[in-house]
Amino acid sequence: MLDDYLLTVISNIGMISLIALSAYILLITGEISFGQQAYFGISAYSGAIATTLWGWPFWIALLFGSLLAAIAAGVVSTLTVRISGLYFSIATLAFSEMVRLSLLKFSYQKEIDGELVGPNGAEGFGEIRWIFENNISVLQYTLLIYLILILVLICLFIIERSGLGMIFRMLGQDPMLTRVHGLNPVIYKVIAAVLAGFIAGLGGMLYAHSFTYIEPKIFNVMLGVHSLAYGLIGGLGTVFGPLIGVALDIGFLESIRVIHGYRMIVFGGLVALMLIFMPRGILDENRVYRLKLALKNWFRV
Amino acid sequence: MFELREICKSFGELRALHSVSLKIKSGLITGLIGPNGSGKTSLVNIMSGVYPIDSGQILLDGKDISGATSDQISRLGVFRTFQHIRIFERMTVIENVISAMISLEPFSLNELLGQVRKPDDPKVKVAQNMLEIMELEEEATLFASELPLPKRRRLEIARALARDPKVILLDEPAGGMTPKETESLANLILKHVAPGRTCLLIEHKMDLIAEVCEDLCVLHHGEKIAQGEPLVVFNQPEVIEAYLGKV
Repeated sequence: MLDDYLLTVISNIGMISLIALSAYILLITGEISFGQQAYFGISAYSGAIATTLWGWPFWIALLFGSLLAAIAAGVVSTLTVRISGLYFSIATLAFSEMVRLSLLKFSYQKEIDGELVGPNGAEGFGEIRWIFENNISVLQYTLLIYLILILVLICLFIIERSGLGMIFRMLGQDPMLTRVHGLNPVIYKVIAAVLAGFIAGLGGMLYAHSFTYIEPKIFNVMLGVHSLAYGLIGGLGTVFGPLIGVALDIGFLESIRVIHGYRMIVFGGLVALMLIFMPRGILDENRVYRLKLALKNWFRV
Repeated sequence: MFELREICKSFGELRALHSVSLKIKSGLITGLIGPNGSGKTSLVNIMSGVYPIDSGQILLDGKDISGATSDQISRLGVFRTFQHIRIFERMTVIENVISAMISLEPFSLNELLGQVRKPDDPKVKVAQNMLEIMELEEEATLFASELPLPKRRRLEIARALARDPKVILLDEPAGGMTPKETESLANLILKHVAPGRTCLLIEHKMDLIAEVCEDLCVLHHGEKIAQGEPLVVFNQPEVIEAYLGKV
């Protein structure tokens, strides 16, 4: 039966998939960002403030948090658009640490029902009670997470088949050649970053309301490194790649009791092995293409 | 007409091009030759906007385009190929050709988010045509990384043709090809690339130059030392000296 523990693992997979997808979008445009956790965090805090302190409806708060994250991502990518490679990675890391350290100093509390509620620096932000106030069960919230994940996947699917998706992949392979093809990389890099920021934001806001308590240290660099690793393990050829990576890590490694406590060691080894033997993941571009051809032939017969 | 006026370009202490002026006549194939390191590829990089110039002027049909970036120049109808082949290796051959046509349409949401690989899409039709012309139709669904070198060079030209540029700059299109492959490339250039276009052809293979070029320009140490009809230019003492040294 679906007990609450299993449901928590499943909903975790859904929420972390969103930040993994956001890192994936940047990976296919050829940029390695160590800073997607910043957008996840910005949206977690702002979305939770909106529902808890301001009493906004959930959906509007979800949009609000994600839009703030998208705007922050747009600003950062406009500032870093002329740098790439290692320098881009360092810049994104620096920004995300700025966000985390600012959250450590950020205090904004209000008295609600005789109790002080709101983010208070390192103590974190508890009492995000939207789930309890509205009597949402774990199962219902899990379904909500997956509804949003599926909507995001449909959007990414459409983009993958479109000119925009092709431009993303062109940028990821040869930015100079993309420019010679008459496309200005600056525009498309910013579009990719804003899209990635928004998707990370969706994940962050859902995360805050699922755990009812958030603190700045959740949004440290390990979250960003993981979200990168998910795409690299699962594969960069399709949007399902990062989902496979998340499912492998959270669904498989964390649930096996035998290796409990050794999960990070196994995961680290897995990343190293993948980078040596399958540098673009299990479902890389070539395998995805062959799979598609095989499926097409199979349906024709 | 593509015109360069007193172009200078240095990389630190190295003077790659010094006051090069060059007129590329419309509708002709102009050859560009010179010993290694004479600045041929630098010139193409400048004409396609990949490198900014230090001084001088670039004119396209009388319009000053000095300082334009490579995406702007590309949208003005100038396209190039690369001496060191650049293709999108993690895409199929036909996708490589389609990718060249994305920026041809005005920027619109429909253009950006519409499906690019629909079989009945005009872009796909054009891409198939170009692959047929370049005799690559059987390789259309292969990954570009699987192509051997001569086919990669032809893919670069197919891609350039798909954009249907006014001016096409070919940087050593026969590099690494056997004499037989070079011969068939010459035919393809004369039949499909040149008609109705302005071409600049960089080559080391003199028989190819002699066969297809109507005008020839020689660079040496970053300076232009000769321009004129190929057979006349070949016999100029400065040109012989640049290639073979002084007797």
